[in-house]
Amino acid sequence: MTLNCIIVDDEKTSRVAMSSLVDHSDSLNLVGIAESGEQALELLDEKQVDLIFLDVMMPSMSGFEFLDEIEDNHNVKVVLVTGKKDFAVKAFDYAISDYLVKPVSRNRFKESVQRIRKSVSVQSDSDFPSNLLLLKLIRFMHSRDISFLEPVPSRKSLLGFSYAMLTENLDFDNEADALDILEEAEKDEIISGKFVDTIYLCNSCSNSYLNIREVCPNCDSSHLVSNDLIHHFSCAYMGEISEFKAAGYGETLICPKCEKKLKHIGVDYDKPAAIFNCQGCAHSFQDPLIRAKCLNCGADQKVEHLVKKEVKKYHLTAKGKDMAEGNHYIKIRKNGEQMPDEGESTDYFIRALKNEIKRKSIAEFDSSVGMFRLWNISELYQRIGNVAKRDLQKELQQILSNDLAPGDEITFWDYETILMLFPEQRKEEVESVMDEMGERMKELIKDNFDDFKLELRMAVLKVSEDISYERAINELLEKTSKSNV
Amino acid sequence: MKENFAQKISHEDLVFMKIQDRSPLYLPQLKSFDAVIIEYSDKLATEEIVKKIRCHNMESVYLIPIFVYKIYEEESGSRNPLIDGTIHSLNNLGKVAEVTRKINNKLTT
Repeated sequence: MTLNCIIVDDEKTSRVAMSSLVDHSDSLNLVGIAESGEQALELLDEKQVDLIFLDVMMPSMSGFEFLDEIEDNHNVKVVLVTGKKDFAVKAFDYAISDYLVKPVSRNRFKESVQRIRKSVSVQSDSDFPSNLLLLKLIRFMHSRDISFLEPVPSRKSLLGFSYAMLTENLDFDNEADALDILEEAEKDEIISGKFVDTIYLCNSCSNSYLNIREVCPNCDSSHLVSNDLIHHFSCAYMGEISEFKAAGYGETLICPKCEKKLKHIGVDYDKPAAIFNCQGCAHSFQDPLIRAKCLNCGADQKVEHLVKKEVKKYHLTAKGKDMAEGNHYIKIRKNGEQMPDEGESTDYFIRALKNEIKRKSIAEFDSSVGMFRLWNISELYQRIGNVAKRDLQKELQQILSNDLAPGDEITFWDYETILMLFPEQRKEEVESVMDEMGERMKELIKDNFDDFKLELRMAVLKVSEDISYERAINELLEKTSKSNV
Repeated sequence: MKENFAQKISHEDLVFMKIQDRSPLYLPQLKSFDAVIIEYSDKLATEEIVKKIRCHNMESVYLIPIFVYKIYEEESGSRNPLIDGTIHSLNNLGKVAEVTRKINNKLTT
């Protein structure tokens, strides 16, 4: 975690010394330097700041006066940096995070940053952007006695609806986060929702402004001309209306087969269907595909791949009111962009594999490590969009986990590669288990996307003390690029 | 402080800041006021300044009661849910004071 920090000091030498310390820290990102409290207030207004290194003795606005100005900005940590030790007691009243005496030693600075990082990570749940947004929303609703937070139809909004306090606080491209935040808050019983409408969103960018139209199943062109099909009862001739018009005159229809005049629909003829003629590839067909073109990102998708969402109006529950009054912390987690098992769990998997390799050198048993490569899955991901992609990955991980024994480990190495560790299980046993897993994954994909055939490759390796974890993974990657299930 | 075109209006025990919708505004100074009155001249400019206030990260700024001062009522469709009321005269601020007190009481309890 990197903290965005600013330095506030009227003395140039102190600013230079502090910025050198900050530059040498991997945990800090210097986003601004201010020569006065006033300049620092402007920086706070413009930038996302997590930490302030603040001098106390400054001419126009002292460090403490500056702290008075930002007293209700609870999101920022402050470290006082001063030439005198006399301010320590007063600093304690301001609940500052740390107190550094000039000249600041490298070790003392490092220790201070470590301490702050630790406290920030403890708070990170409540400081998670979705939690801060939700807090803003419920404080606003509570202070205004808003009985229902209504979705307001809005042409300017990504979703086609805006929610007061939420939509305004999100960038246009991230406005769909509002729905996730509200959904999570409803699950946590902070708010309660009442159905208002259903919306369909682009599976790539969550935009609701879509151009839905019929396209040719052969070439995907939307340049189609449709004609009613006419069934003439008396001679049983069936043809496009244009043929009947061509044989007739004006609006009068004449059957091109028996040359009789068509008089009454339902009596001597009917129109059982329509026929589409593609102007792009000349293909004629009765059942066009329905596709939706996103007017924000341009993605052209099948309507069945659009993301369906419920739009609701919300009111604060008793728990929500309690939270708005500050009696409870808010702790929701919005669905992130990350893969189902990315990050920490991949690190954990590597640690587990390393331990297994170590264990192998002192004990007599067979352990195995396996890999699945979903070789052509990126084609499917591209087609179904980000939201459905995340859901699919979760489902895949779920069905694989069902076949794992306690102590087995699984991780998504990347979007198309799954790694699994099977402690104390022989290669042959693991191969058989993985064969079954592979079949189940194929079935899942087939059930959900009948026009897509998953190309799956797998490999299993015996864990050996002679092979490092990097080499083991590389070998599996190499094997899965050659062998097919 | 940046130069601004704000006007301070005192009403009983409350202090309001009156600003024009097109004037530059240094947002943190709002925290010293009980409410803000935005003098309307243009729909977009008013919406923009309301949005800036509600998107600020200081609670005393983003929760401040906002009133829009419009001399003439316009047929402008739906009410902006981010504002706390519209007034047509600065001579009688009783309603503004009442709403402001109600909101501020909720925020302090």
